[in-house]
Amino acid sequence: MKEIWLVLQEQFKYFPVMWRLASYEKKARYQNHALGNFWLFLNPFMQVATYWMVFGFGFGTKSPVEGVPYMPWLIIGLATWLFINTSFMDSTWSISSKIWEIARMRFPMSIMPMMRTLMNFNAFAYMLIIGIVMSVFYGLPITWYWLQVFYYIFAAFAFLYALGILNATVTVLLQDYQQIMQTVMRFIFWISGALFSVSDKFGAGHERIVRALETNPFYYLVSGVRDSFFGHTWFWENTYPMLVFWLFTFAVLIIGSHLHLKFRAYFADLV
Amino acid sequence: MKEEKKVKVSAKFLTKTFDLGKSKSEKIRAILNPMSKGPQKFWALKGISFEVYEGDVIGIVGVNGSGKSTLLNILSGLLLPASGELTINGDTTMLAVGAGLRAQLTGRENIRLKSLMMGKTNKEIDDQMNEIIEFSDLGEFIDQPVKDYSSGMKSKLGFSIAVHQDPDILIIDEALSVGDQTFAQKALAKMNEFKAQGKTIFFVSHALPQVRDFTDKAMWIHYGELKAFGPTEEIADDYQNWNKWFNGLSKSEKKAYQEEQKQKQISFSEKQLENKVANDSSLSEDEKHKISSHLGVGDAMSMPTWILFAASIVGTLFFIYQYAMWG
Repeated sequence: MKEIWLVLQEQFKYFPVMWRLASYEKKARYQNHALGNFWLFLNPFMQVATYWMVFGFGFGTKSPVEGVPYMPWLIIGLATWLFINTSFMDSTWSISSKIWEIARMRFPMSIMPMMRTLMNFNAFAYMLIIGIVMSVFYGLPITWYWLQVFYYIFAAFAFLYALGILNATVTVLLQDYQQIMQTVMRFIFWISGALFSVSDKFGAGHERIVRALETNPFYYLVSGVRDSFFGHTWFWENTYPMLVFWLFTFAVLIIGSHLHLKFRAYFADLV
Repeated sequence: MKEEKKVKVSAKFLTKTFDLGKSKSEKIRAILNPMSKGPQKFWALKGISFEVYEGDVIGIVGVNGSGKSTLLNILSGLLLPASGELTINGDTTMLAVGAGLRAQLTGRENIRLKSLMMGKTNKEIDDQMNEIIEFSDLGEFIDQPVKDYSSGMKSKLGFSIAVHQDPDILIIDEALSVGDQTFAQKALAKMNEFKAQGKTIFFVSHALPQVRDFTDKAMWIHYGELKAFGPTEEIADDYQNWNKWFNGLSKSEKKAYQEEQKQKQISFSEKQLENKVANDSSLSEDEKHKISSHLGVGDAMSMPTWILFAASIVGTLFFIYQYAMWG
């Protein structure tokens, strides 16, 4: 417990540094590109467009919610997935690839994973807004349920924080971890429900397996953000997935902060 | 000269070992269980002790691979010593060749990035920017990407950034040996200013004249050992004489000498370290034991934390089961 507290304290104490670095890196990332920061927007936009053509047109996928067109349903879910996936993968190398740059600086290395998440948040916010505008444009009602998007964004940050510390630390100890995670994430993509409803496609006859798969935290977040805009349930009504999500996040946080504190003085020796 | 000076850095029997050419899993095992037989160790530092006071400018000399950089990396907090006691009073800033600049960013952008990493706000950086740029003597080049810089220009930029971070302890590793004479004079003036403010500077250079010019005290590190520590004049003379002697040897003699020294660094052991520590009469028995034993890695996970961890894993699995079976 002490470990969690220590690492958490560092996040808050050094939040201003983290924020300033994230803003600066965001500016620096695309500065040598002709289209500049437009890429921040263009990248996810092209992905949405591609999936929309293939799944919306090609396979005629429908959103599983009555009366909701596929396009806004896809954008909001995919935006969430891209945000979590990118931040998750970025966190794996956030420390190991920058160790020489950051090791002697006046901030703890534990803020690096969260800094990556902050950098990715803007693109997510823009896409979410586009999705929302589109929903309104299609005539979908504005409800009180929309407010719970803030709960799900908070949950996403908590999850990415816990996993980020673990990912960044384990990658230093074991280089293969990053490759393993890349492979795992490719699989999780298809059961995260970002493109189509898993239970609609594979549900019949395998309800239990599908439900077990749907307890994965990525599905929880993607479907949660969607529920906020298209659903008619509050997050606390979805009890078991909620408990699974938070207990899992908590377990990861314990092990992640413990390993991080244990090995961080040796990072430079190990990279 | 007799006024009380505060100790800035105190080191007691610092050691650093590196594992020789082994896989990472063995390295991790060696960290977790340092007393295990494990891979063969190379003692980059074989128990170095010194005390450095405020206002000291310390030159560090020694041949390549003698452990100078290892010592600096430990002082700057990048590496952890394997055993021994190190007390540092104040913030350290280290300046190495290349200085960790990002090649695709311009000089101006690198100043901002580094300063942000040192915890400065954008406003503080704006206020300081012109001063840093002026000090660096880079002129028009400040808005060019660093990849187009010569090594001298890089070191000027790195030095300018480092001295403007208000360090208590400044560590300079070879970074000035590539700069030109005018800049070296400027750097010397800045270092004297720091000295007057009671800051401490460690200065590594292969250029002995520079060490003589810049520093008042010098350490001679020789294959992992502190061979001598005293006034720069004496040490520099000794070192120069040693160099003369060494360069007078034939090629095969040189090689044999180096081999012998390296072998000593491999065969050095905890036992020898203990003997070394035991001869120091200023330490109590407890301290002796503490200093000669390996620094432990963090704490093990406490019992309540283990229980909490196990409980949340079990809980996760239980609720997955519940949800999967009955929705």
